[in-house]
Amino acid sequence: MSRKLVGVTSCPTGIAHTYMAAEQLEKAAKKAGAKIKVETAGSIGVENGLSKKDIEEAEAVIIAADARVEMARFDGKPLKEVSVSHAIKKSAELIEEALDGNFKIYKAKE
Amino acid sequence: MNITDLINEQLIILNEDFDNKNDVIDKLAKRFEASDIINDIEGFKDAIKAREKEGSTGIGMGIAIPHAKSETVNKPALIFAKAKGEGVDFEALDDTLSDLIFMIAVPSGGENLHLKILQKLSRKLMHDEFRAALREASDPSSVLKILEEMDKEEQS
Repeated sequence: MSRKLVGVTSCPTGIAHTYMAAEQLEKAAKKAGAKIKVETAGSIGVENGLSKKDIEEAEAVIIAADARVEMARFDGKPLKEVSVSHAIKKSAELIEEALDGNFKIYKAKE
Repeated sequence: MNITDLINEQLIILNEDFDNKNDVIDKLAKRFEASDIINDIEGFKDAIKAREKEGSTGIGMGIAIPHAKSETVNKPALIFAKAKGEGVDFEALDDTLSDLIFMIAVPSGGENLHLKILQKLSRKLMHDEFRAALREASDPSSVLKILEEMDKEEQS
């Protein structure tokens, strides 16, 4: 079974970058032999939403967003937050870092 | 809705010589105006520039996607411009030049069917072979063909 990650991408206009970042993360994960489910929060609304099970099963979480993302659900997971453009350009590095277990544990505020 | 509802040969510009980012925005906005896509060119350009201020839409890989969701837009549309040579300095985040430029005009409010197509295009642009095909296209009708092929594909 391949290793699992989850991610969320979002940008202010939600027309293009959200989906570019999602595609890049999916491509990079595939290359690394892993699977990532990416929730896209664009102007169409939230698509491919992450279930509780998805989050539980994931080794790490990548948040690539320049807009607000519902964060409390990731409490206790290894997580990294980056800008959406960073995820587009550095997807391979992000995936590698996630699989190497180099993310800090996220603690939800309040 | 199909991609050809958003773009046509009048909205495809090949081997254009652009001076800089502002020149790209000027020329492409004029093209939208000529096709009656926008109703207030200055207002539209302001909206495009406001988005660029939040961070350049020159995202590397030679791609720039200046876009605006604004009431200055009559109907959703897309311009594809291939800049001459290596491309134009679109103040890309990685300091590289941009040669594949998609300008996106979206009306505020209204229906969302066009967003699905733009979503597909955004994802497709991340693929090397798709960008290579766009760079090799020598006339507007071949660009349209590439975009139509993309539109027909099932989303993977």
